[in-house]
Amino acid sequence: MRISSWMLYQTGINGILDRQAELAKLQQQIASGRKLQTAADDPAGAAIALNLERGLADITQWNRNAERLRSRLAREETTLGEIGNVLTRVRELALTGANATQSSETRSMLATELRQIHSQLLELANTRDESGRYIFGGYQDGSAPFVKQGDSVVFTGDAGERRLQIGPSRELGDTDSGYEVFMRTPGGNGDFRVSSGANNGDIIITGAELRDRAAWSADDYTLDFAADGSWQVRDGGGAVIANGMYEAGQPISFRGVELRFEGQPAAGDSFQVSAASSRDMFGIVQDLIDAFATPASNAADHARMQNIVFTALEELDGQNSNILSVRAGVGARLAAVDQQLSINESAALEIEQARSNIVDLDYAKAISEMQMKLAGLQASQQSFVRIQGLKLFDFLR
Amino acid sequence: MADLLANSLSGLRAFQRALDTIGHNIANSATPGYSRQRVQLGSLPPQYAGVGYIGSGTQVTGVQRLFDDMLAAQTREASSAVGRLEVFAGIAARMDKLLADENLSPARGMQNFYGALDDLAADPASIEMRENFLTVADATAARFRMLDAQFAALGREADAAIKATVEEVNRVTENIAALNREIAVAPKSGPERQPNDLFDQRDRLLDQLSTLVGVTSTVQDDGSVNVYIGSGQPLVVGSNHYRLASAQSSYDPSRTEVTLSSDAGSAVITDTLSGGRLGGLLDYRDELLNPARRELARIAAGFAQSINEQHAAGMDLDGRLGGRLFDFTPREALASKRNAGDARVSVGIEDAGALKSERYLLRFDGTSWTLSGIDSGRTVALSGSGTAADPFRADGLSFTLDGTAQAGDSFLLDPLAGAAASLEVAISDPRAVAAAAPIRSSANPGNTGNATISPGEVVDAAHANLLDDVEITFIDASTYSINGAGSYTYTPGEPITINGWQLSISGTPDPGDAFSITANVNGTGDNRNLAAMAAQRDAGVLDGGSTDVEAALGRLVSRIGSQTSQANAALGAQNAILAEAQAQREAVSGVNLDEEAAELLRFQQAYQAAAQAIAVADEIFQTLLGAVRR
Repeated sequence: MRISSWMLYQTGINGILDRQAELAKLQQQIASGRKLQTAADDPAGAAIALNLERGLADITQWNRNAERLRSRLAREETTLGEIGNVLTRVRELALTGANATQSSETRSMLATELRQIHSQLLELANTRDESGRYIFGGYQDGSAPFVKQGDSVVFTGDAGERRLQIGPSRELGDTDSGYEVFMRTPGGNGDFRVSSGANNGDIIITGAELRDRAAWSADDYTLDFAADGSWQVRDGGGAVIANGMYEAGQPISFRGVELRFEGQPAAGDSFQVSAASSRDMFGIVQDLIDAFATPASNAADHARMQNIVFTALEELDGQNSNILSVRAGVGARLAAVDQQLSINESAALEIEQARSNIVDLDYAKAISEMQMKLAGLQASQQSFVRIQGLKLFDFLR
Repeated sequence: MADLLANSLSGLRAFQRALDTIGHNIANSATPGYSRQRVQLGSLPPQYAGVGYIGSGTQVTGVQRLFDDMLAAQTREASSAVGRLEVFAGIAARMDKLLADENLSPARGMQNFYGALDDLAADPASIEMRENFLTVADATAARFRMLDAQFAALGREADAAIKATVEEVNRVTENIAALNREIAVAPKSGPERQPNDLFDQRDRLLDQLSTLVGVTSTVQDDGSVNVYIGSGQPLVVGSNHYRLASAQSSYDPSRTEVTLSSDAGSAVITDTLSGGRLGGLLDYRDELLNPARRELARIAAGFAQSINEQHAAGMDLDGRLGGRLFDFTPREALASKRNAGDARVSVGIEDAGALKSERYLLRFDGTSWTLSGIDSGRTVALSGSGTAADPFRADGLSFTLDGTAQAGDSFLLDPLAGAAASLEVAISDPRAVAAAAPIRSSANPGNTGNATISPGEVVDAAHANLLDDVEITFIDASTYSINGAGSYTYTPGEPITINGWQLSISGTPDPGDAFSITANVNGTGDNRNLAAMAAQRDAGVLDGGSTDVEAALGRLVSRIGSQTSQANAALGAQNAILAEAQAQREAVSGVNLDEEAAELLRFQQAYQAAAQAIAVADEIFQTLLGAVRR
């Protein structure tokens, strides 16, 4: 084919310009470390990279949530630990107070300490987090959830649980409801609650167990003793459902319930046995305060005090195991947070790798490509000069 | 009389012409569009001299222009395609870059938005976090606005370039018409005596014209050329040319249309134009930029709708139900300038999930209204009557009529064009962020059964009794009453729906156990509604609920990206085709200096030989004179 001079020149120049454009692109890639500069470089890859970046952002967010969760759960865990300590102290005080060697004065000193403990418990129940929100308030975390009304404490919060996402399908609550922690534990031994009605003799209760759950029926039962030591149990409707003669050391049983006593009943002594309903922690302490603050001058007073302490100790056990199970739950969640953090870490690593494969430049490859293209450019330039330098006119002299 | 002197003189004259032409070729070797010329030599008619025919020298029969019409047409076609793709790929690459910009990317805005939402969910009562959430929400909306503004700027640039190109086309066609006139009157005979350089100038203009816009041309008998544009409308006929002009659209004053004047008046020819820079600009505007802006707006509408619906179903710090978090306003309907009635059409969005990135024409024929897609040509079914109470509904839009329309009135509906610029945060009070669910449920403290109640969720935020207190009391283990009335069968775990909310109770309740549901006033620590808003992220809202916002954004980015890379690939291919066509044309028409040098040598030698022959003739004559003198 005939080649015009212009064509020859243009072809050479175009070759050089094309090489230079390729080199500029390559240099931009090397300078930024990215082979994907805009979506046009790899439309499908850009869409995938966008998804992967979202995945990374999600994981960063989950990790932040997990850290927050960890600090809040740790705070709750500390609070629950302190509540456990307080309950142990209450138990010690209850046992001390029940001891026959105590006088009314020493008991009133115990009552004073218990009053302090009561307000300490209230403070713990109204614990606030780093931003001043009540951790046991449920959704209503802006105001103190536990409020003292007279001698009792009422819960004004709710059972709401704030959940934070820490993994693709993992959400954890960042506290427990104050209702569950302080108010919800069943009273008595968990099945039924014994309280003394009238104490005339020195009979005190020493054991209360549900032996036969099938025979049990939830109701309010009254156990009355007569002067001759006979007893009868009436149900809520007043019907007598069991009776017998009291013998020291022998339990009294009805509807699957087994009660053990010490001492001698007097006429009119009575006990109430009712299905356990929720009992709050503060009420138990308040019962003990009331029991110890009341002077015990005779055997009957003593027996009443002892009976209150018996029920309170049973209920303290219930509260304690409730606190322990809540703490175990918090511990399990803390472990779950740690586990999720490490899962997130390896997931992030994987995503980062996948993203890098699409977006980032393989330097070794890019640099060897650059060497090749530089050689190509040099060849184009040299051949251009050689060809342009060869003119027939040069020989026409 | 044929003799050596006369023959040599004719050679001298002819070789002089040939050398002149070679000089002309060399001088124009750098002139764009120049076609090399060759002097055609022919022997003069011989004379009969008894012994036979004696040659009487040479003559120049013409100057030929080495040119191939087919190759020229091929080059022009290729340069039209290159002209189109150069401008298309150039601006597409800028859109592609804008979408890749981290500071503009709405996809990154989504990440920030949901990140801030999640941060707030971890501390929903914090005013600082609420402020932060609103700030980030505004920044997210601003990304949509800024990106749309950048696209709008590209659109204005394209419009300005369209206007400038139209003027350039006019200038070129005017020159073609002027050259046509010159060519028509220039003396010429046969194929070898033509105004070669005028042809070159005109062909050069045709080359220029075809990089500006796709045209076709036919050569006339008098050597002039007629040029046609679009679907065959005349642009140059002989020495007349018809002007292109840029004009406002009859519906949309911000839209530039191209019109062509003719003897019958001027007509809009925008849709028939193709190829060249002008075709590239129009294609870019109508096939890439405007669809992308509509798509961006559609995504913004979907985002606003999905968040607003959930936000409205939540409760703010002050116990009020949340309203809209984002405002989004579609573009108003554009009445034709020719409308006779005074009707106005206001456009609203009913369901972002049904929106299409389309333009519509709403027409009134005197009795009824019809809606049709402009680009698809399909007729869209309208429901409703057009009143405020019962607006027209179609494709997720609602139209309300105001005023009276006359038969033949029409409106252009391009509800999404540029509407992404309207996305903004609707609330400024951080307390008004509806983080909490509007209701909360609780079990009565005296309950003895083990039944538990779920937190509950809102299914109808607009229910009038949503915030009323409700007490569910169990009559026995399998029936319950609501607010002390009625008797309903209890199935553990089954949803119970009352007053626009829904929850479930599971476990075994004892008779008398009660659960209460109240308005979540002071539920400052509640983040349930935020969690529900976060769940919107993966919920499909567009395309009838099959596409989530980020997937749609990703699709937009990769669509522009692939259109850009396609345009670049096509540009590469067209450049190769153009280079090939140019090479072929150059092979015929281009000047090769080495060749000219050889020709120069050839004719120089011939000229010298002819001069030598004259010297010989002179010597012969002197010889004769010498002989006679003796």
